[in-house]
Amino acid sequence: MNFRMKIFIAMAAVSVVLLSLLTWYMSEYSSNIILDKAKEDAGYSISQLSQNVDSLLQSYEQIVDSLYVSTEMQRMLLTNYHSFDDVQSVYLNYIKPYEQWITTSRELLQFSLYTENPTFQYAQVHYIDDEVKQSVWYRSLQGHDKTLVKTWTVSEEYAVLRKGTIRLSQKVHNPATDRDMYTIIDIEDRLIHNLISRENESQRYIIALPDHSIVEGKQRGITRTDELSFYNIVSGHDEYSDVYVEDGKKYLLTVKTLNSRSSVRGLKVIQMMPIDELLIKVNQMKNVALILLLVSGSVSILASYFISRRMTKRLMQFARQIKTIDIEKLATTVEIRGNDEIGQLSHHFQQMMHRINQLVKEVYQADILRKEIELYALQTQINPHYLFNTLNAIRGSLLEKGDRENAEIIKLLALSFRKVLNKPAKSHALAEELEIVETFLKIQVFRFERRLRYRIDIPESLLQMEVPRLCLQTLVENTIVHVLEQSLGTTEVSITTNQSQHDIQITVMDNGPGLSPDQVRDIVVQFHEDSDLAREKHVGLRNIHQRLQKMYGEPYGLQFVSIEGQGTLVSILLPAYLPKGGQTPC
Amino acid sequence: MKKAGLIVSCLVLMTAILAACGKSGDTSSGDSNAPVTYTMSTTDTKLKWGTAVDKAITEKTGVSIDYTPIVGDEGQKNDLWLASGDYPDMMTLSPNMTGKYRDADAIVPLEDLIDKYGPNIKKRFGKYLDLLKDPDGHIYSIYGINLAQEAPANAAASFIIQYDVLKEADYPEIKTLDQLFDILKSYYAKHPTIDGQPMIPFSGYWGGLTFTNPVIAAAGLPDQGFSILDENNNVRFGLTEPFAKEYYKFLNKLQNAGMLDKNIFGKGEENLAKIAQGRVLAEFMPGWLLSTPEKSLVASGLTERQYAKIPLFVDENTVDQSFVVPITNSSSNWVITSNAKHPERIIKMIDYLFSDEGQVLINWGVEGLQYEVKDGKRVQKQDYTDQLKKNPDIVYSDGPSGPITNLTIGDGALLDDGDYATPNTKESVIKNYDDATKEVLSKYGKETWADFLPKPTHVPSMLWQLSEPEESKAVFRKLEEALNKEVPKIILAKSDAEFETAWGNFVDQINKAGREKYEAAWTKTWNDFLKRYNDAVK
Repeated sequence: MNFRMKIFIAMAAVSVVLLSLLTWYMSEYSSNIILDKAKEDAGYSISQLSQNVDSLLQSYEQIVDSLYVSTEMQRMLLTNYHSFDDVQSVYLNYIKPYEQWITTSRELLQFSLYTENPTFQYAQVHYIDDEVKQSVWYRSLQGHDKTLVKTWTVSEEYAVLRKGTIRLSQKVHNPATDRDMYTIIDIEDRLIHNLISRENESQRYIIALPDHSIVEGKQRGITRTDELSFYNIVSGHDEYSDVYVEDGKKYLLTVKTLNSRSSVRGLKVIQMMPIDELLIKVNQMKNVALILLLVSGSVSILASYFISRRMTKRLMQFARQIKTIDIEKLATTVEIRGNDEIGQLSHHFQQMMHRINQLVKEVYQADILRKEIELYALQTQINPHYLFNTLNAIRGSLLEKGDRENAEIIKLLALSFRKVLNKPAKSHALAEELEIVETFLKIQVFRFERRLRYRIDIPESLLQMEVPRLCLQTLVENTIVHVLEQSLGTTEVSITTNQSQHDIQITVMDNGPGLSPDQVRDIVVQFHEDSDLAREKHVGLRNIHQRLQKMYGEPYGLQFVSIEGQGTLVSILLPAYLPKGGQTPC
Repeated sequence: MKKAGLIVSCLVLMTAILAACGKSGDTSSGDSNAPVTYTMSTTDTKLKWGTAVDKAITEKTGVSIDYTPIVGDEGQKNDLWLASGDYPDMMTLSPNMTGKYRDADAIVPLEDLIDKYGPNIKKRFGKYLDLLKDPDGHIYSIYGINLAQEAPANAAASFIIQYDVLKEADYPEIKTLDQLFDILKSYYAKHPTIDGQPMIPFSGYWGGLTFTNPVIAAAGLPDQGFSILDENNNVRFGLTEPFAKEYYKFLNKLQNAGMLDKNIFGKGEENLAKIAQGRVLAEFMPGWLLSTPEKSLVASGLTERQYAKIPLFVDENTVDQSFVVPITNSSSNWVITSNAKHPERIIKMIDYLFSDEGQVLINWGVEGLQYEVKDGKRVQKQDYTDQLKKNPDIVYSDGPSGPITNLTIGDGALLDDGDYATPNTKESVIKNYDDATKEVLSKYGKETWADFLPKPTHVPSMLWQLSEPEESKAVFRKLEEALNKEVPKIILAKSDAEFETAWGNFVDQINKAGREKYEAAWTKTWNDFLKRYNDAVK
């Protein structure tokens, strides 16, 4: 997966995840708000409805209360009468006008009085016989020891004529006669139904009297609250508002119980609001949120795509730049602009390539130079043949002329040249080195005659040892230059070996004037120095020492000892075991 | 750019369409069939506009009715409304009440509207159209007209006796109140209770139906309220006549034998409820009032507690002249009050109800729902009548129900298509009798209850269909008071002597209240009407 893909996926993933989280949270939050609002509204509407029910019932209770207050009426009803005339006249003069007024003004279905007075039974004033004692309303008033008791019950008597009737029954105990008097008024339950405004008719309201009979909201033949599926909620709570599931449908069930008077205590107003409608709205909202999520998700994915493309364009260009570098020419093919990191990268990369280019060129050039030198050397190598031939010719001529001495020198010279110039290796056997040294010494003896005397004393076993090329030669040359050419007497040079368990020491010794300790120290320091800090003096010695160290390691190398007035002793120290063949360059 | 232009033009088009749609809703109600709603009073609190029949009417005329139920005393409510001016747009009023409203200018005269918008009304009433008019020449109310030549097939006497009582007495020939008393006594002795509740041998719906109407009926005279018409077209106060005394004696006998309903002077709903429970053995109750509790009896399966409707009289020799059929159905009449806007819409609707289509709707119902056409004749659907028996309240959901049914042209009348206007034919009536009813009828050798009645006499009008003469109004109240006060005493008299005293007292009180004045005023009113009638129909 390339870098651009990674950036795009990362951006897109982050934005989509964030958007989803946000959407989910917001829709949950809003749906909770909606549900809470619905609960609140349900609470208000049911509060209002219960208040209205309470007021309505109270207004009727006030009618019968007036009877309680009217002691005169009670007395008239509860006195014993002896003639129908009296009864009728009391009725027509007092009771009937009251009854007419009440039933008309308050739209009562009926108004009746019941007494335990058998002497007063006429029209709407009834005697409490056994039949009455069996009735629901009568029984609802029994068992209370208060002077004034009121109950509301559902009246079944007129079911054949009317849809639904509610009865308010009142019992008054008259202390003067120690008799009870009952008043009943019937009202249509339509009055309660009318309290539910038309707008709310889609919601199911159930209004139940304290005796559990339902006056409003009878459905599927359920006439009592204890037949409802959620009865235990209704009976267990005075106030309640929560979600209720019935037949797979969700409702908001709100319950309110009246408690203001003993007659209505326990009257329940129940509202079942189908939340499905609400949920439809909530789901609509959630769908909208989902659509918005999808839209914004796609937009953000597209945006991520284009942005990542834009941003990584230069990076990709850079990558391509790197890929397409001509490895031979080391020239960049694409130019990256800009001051940001990518631009800087590109710029530095170009610089790097440039520098490499330069270094390659140097190497190349060095290579060319080397080749030139080799060529030159090659060229000059051709010449030694010419030189040898000439020297041989001279030697031949000298031999013809009988000059053996000079002919010998010429021969040595030719030999010397040949050895030096002939395919130099980094190191060679000690035997070869000694050949070179001896040839050289012989030539010097020719030059200096009796001023030089030498002795080479090296056991046979060591002749095959690898030594750096010209290491001994250099030392001997040094001796000739610094000692012989400076002294008048005879210089003795001896090349000897010293063998121990670990190393082999090859020494070049002379009996020259020697050096002061300071000079010795100076020389030793110099040939131990690194090439950077080293002066031009004692280059040769340094060369040999470093070559030795490179070849064999730290403890080995050159040793320089000199005693003033006695002589100088320079040794090369080699390990006892010797790797064969050419190694690190000396 | 093109796209934007396209979108904009689409939007413009849409708004234009929406605006047009929105407008078509509210045309002025002068428009012929635009929807309009009128309020109407009714004593039937179960009524709600919207049955299949109602919807058909609304579809054809655009008119819907919003029922205002009257709870309690209808007369009182009407008086209250009249006094406050809060009456609904349409009302059904008794002729008397119509008079009151007319006098207070609360109702609008209709003759011009009928002339312009009521071709069907004019057609149906024909030569009797002028009968709709009051003496001042205006028409103030509309009611149905009896175009039938035969008696209605479901006519019946108003004395009712429970089937089971007759069965136990082995279906005796029964004609007099005394005979009734005897069989009631023996039945009651054997069956004092039903379902643990006490039986009531004889009961009565409150007021007039207890001590006015049955008195007249038992005298074999037509139901004219308090009054009777003698051969010379004189109106007389009937309740002080000798036959009245006989009838009250009958009630007194029942009372002293403990067989009279204790609550007979109370409100009537209790009475209907007790009938529906099967606890009342006999009573005087006209069919229009009995039908509801009797249907309830059938629905609860107490078919043996239904009632035989047999005419009864004070003695053997009374001749039954009670069966009269007035030309018009005037009793609970439609009026249009001054509160109604565009009364012509109402007249148009009423006119539609008088058309063949309308008559079928208010009498039969909707084709396919309550009736179907078989062999070219309308016939009630069996499953509908079965449903109706089981649940009489389906008239409130399916129809036809409500005051619209008052505007019928009568049972036995024919529509222009030659078929009966109402389902109420002898065949249909017999078809609807259950087995218990058929059995009882067969024991008496009759097919329908109407067979117990004599041939009907056609009369121009009943007295109570006329509007009350002014002079008699005050007297009427006093007579009523005296009646309400004295008659209970007569009935409750514990001894013969007490009875006589109470009766004498009663007659006195009636005379003192102004009986003669009452009789004079009504005689004049009746004769005036007769004259108008004769003029109109010659």
